[in-house]
Amino acid sequence: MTKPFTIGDKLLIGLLICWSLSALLPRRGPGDWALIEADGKPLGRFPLKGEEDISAQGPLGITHIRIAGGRVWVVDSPCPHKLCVKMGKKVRAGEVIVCVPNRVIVRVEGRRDFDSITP
Amino acid sequence: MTRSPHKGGAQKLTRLSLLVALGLALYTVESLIPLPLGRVGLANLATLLALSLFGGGEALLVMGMRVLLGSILLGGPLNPASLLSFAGGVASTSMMILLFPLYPRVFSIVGISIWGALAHNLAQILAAYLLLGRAEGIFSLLPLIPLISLAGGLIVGLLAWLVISRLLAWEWNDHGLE
Repeated sequence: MTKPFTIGDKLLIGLLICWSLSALLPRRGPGDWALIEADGKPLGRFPLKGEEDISAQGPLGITHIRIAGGRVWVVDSPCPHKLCVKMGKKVRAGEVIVCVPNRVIVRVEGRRDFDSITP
Repeated sequence: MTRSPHKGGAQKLTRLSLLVALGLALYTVESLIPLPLGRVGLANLATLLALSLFGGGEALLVMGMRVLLGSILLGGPLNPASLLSFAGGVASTSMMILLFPLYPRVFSIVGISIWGALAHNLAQILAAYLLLGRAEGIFSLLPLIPLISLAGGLIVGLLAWLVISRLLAWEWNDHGLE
């Protein structure tokens, strides 16, 4: 029985670590608006420039989303784990906040971003 | 390694059944973890053991039986969780069978396991995309895939290594692996 960590193993592990680190690099500039979907239906596009509080009605209740200072985040949500609240404030185009239990999706989009995400 | 004279079909059947039961138990325990992507893929341990101790066909059999019985026990055969589990199982088992000729010279059992975990997670993302109304948001999980696969593959691979090195001492395998 060969011991673990042959050269192939080490290369594979190194490759996977590089791949996951590359995800941390910023790839896109700040977004221009947030596209919010609730329960499968689009609520609309909300510009990130201003300040706004948005209530998204999902099957569990209302997810409160706030836009201020060019960022968007979930303030409060009726879901059990509050993962969407913990996902924090999003700035860059392409970033997404998803609340799976309450079926709310917030996508940050930019004007030059249509090739990657088609709404 | 010499074959023991009493090694017949019944013994092999028993051992493969044990592996199915092991996979099913691990799958059940793991399904109690609430995070959908935080799973290690522990059930893959049974498939990996079947592959290295018996062969590719036996690995597919153990995986298929585990998914079938698992879907009967937890939900229905056609519910999304079972389909996701089937997609992940087929992908990871195929990947491991495909790369197994490189064992043990290029990849150890840990390497094979990491490849399996990678195929498992990629297939599950793809299947989730196709099943859950083609929500593109699911691809935002892609950057997590290498980390999750690495962690899961390492844990399962090291466990498999520990188990196999002990089982080989009892001549548990089908094709004289050393």
